[in-house]
Amino acid sequence: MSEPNAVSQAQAAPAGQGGPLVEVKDLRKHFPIRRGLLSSVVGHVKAVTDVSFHVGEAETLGLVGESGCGKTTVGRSLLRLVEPSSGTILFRGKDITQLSNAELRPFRRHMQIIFQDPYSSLNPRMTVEQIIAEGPLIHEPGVSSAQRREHVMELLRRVGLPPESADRYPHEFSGGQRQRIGIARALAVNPSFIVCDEPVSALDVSVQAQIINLLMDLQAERKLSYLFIAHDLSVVEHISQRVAVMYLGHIVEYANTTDLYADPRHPYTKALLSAVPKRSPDDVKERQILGGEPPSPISPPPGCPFAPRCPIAQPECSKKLPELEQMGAPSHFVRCPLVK
Amino acid sequence: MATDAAILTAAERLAPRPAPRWAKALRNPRTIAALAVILLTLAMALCAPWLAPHGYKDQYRGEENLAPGAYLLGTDDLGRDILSRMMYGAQVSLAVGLCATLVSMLIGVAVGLLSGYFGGWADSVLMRFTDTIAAFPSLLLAMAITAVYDRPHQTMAERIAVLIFALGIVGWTGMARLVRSQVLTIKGEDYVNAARALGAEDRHIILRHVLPNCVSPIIVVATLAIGGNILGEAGLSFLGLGVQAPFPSWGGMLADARNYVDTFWWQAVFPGTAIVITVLAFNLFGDSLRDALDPKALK
Repeated sequence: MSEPNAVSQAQAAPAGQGGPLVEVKDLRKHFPIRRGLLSSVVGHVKAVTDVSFHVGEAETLGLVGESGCGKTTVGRSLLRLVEPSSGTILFRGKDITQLSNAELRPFRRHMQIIFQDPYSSLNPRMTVEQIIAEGPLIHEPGVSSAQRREHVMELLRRVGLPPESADRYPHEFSGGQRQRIGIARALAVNPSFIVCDEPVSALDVSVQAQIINLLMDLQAERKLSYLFIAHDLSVVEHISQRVAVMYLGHIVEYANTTDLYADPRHPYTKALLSAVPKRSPDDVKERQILGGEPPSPISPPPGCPFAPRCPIAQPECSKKLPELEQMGAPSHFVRCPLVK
Repeated sequence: MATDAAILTAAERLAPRPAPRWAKALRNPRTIAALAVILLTLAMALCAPWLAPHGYKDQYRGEENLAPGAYLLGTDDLGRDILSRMMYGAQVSLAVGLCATLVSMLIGVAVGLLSGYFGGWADSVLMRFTDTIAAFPSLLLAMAITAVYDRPHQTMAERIAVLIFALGIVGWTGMARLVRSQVLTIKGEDYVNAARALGAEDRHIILRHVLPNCVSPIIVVATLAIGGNILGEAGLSFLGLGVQAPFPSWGGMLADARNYVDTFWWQAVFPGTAIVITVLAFNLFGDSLRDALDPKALK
């Protein structure tokens, strides 16, 4: 239980059906900071450090944490949109970390992404049909244009857009409609795994629910697996089977959704959960307010990254980074020895 | 799912479709005026041999420096009809202005795209080369190039080709820098990431995503460059490196008239006005073109 690897191995078993669909081991991304004439490296932004998890078939893993904690970098590294500094990404057991772009292409259609910003994620100069048909054009070049159009129409219908959307440009749509276009684009290549990078945080609450429901319906229909990145804990609770909580590039807690919400262990998780608005005025909740800002990922504090803001921190917390340890439920892992 | 569908139909109705962009842009009087001036100038240039009342080198002894009247726009110091010379001169000005811009646009866009998109050492090499070219005073560099290719018995077409080449070679650096900065912005947009996640090749991303989103500034800068190149040709002609006399160009006529501005004003004013109006028309037309090409501009 002392190595981060142990987490993914311990978690692999309950997912069943011949191993997880996507598995990440010790993923690390440190962006170099270059300065001066010779662009010498003067430091690193330690966005992601030794993150390990897996996503099973037809399963949703929620990834939560505040802005800048590295969750988006994790999602983009999985698709190699950001090159990981080290670590391994396995898709159906195959290591895709070192593949060249050409070798990666066949895997691309199985792993897709839905972006947060519905405005910058659609090319303003392409029609909706061109946007959705882009993937199929790359992966199935031989298909006739009539068939391709039929495919686009089918996807539009499925994501809840009228067929006449096909000839329009993205600016003619609302945020929610654009997000549906983004979903259709990802679905067009029949992926089995989709990284949902805060797909609803830019939308109105009423529209959020529609998009979440659409994502869940699609998951049921197509046996999709999601890595659902968000900072809204209630959304994550609703859609995910398991949740990983990130802080400053580290996973600090990793558990089944029910366990995590019923029995949060890590002080950071507790603080996050206490920030979720109450559902009824009768709910009694202890509001825990964190002081200060997250430290800079360029020079993270020694030891536990959360120690400077932690209400229960001890002097030894700043000496050594604690390991993820199993506590409580069998698949509940917490990076804090003080709450055991 | 049933309740879902009900919510969807209510929420996902589309906004009404606006009128086609081209139609809307063409309804703008500014566009019509600019296009009219450009077409008129082009027509005059192309039809000069048939439309011009006199030949461009016909001299009428004793009728030098006549004010506008019998000769519509007057005559110059050698007794040549200014209107006819301006019509022939439009050929040179337009050919050089348009083609030199095209040359510098091609070079600038290619350099900017490659440099911005690929980054790294390709970026460093290309941008340092761009800096080097930009460090030369542009007219001086153009002069050097035209002087190197100045041979006796050159035909008109050869001479014009040299001018186009010279102005095109010195004029692309601004475009390259502009395109590069655009590419750097666009490269980070999520639709480019989406295309990469779909497995698109670099060539596809550059041609389908990056270039189309650079079009607006390219057009604006190119239309401004047309004016600049018409003036550049005028400068070279003035220095004797342009087309061979007696063939006219607007810049050359302006240069010839410089000694008579206070006495025979029409010799300078008419070619000068022609330059101003043509450059203005290209700029306004470029503006309209940008609006028409931008899906967001006319909601």
